Amino acid sequence: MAADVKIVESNGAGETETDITSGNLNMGSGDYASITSSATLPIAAGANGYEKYLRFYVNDISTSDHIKTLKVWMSTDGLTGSDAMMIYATETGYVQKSYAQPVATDSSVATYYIAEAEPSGANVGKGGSLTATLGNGEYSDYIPIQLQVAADTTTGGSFTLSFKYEEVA
Amino acid sequence: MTVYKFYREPGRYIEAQPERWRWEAYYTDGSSLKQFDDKELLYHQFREIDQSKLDRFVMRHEKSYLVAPLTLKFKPWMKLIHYYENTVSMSMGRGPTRHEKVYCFGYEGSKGKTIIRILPDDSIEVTDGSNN
Repeated sequence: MAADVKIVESNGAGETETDITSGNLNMGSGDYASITSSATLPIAAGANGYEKYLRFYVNDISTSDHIKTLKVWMSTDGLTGSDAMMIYATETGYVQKSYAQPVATDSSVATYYIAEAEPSGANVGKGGSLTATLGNGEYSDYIPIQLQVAADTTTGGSFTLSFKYEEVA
Repeated sequence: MTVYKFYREPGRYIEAQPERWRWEAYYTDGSSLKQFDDKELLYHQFREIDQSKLDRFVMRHEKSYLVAPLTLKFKPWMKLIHYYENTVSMSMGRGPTRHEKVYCFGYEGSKGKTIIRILPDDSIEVTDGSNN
């Protein structure tokens, strides 16, 4: 069996962790994982969604040896107006970011515009290293991300985020 | 279904489910090592391959009677590469999570990498490993 790698989200002051791999990445005006309806926590024009702190997590390495080359990017950009998806994920000058309770003010950690094409190399690390590997039960560094909704937004915006990893079996 | 055993530690095994594409390593001395060993019903990891005596690295489809194998003729200056690319794509307001697996193999030499990517529809791409 191939390795079981999850995408997990952390929320709250106590850092509650949720596996969102089979959930969703809906952004909203509340600090919750897998928001089930955009109607319940809408983000007003000119406001921000709450930050999300995401990570890769190796739930079961199974028969594989290790996981490497972690990437995240926005594979489909259906945002409207001047909406911006901000993140901390970079191929250069990478440093590890710590968890902090998510906020809806402009993020002080998700300060890069998200890549809209697959990066050529890893842009998410482990322990501050983009070349480190993940084994059984291990996490990547946090990936802080925030949707900043512009005043000129219109309803119906959407996006797809892609998370990619290489598995050496 | 055939059960292949993988021993991460002596005396304890986990079951390895067959892959759509699996590797086979053929050595210069006539012996071989297969990821899924049909005789011993064992699963082998890529790092078990002895590259010092590797002659051919073959990727074989589970339906080998329908899909031709892909063979890399190995040279001593090559460093063999094999991994899976896994992509999880999650959408806001656009339906369920999508998973995609690409089987990759190739080699690295002094002039860089050559990676053959076997896509979900079994078509292949030859790349330098950077994917863009």
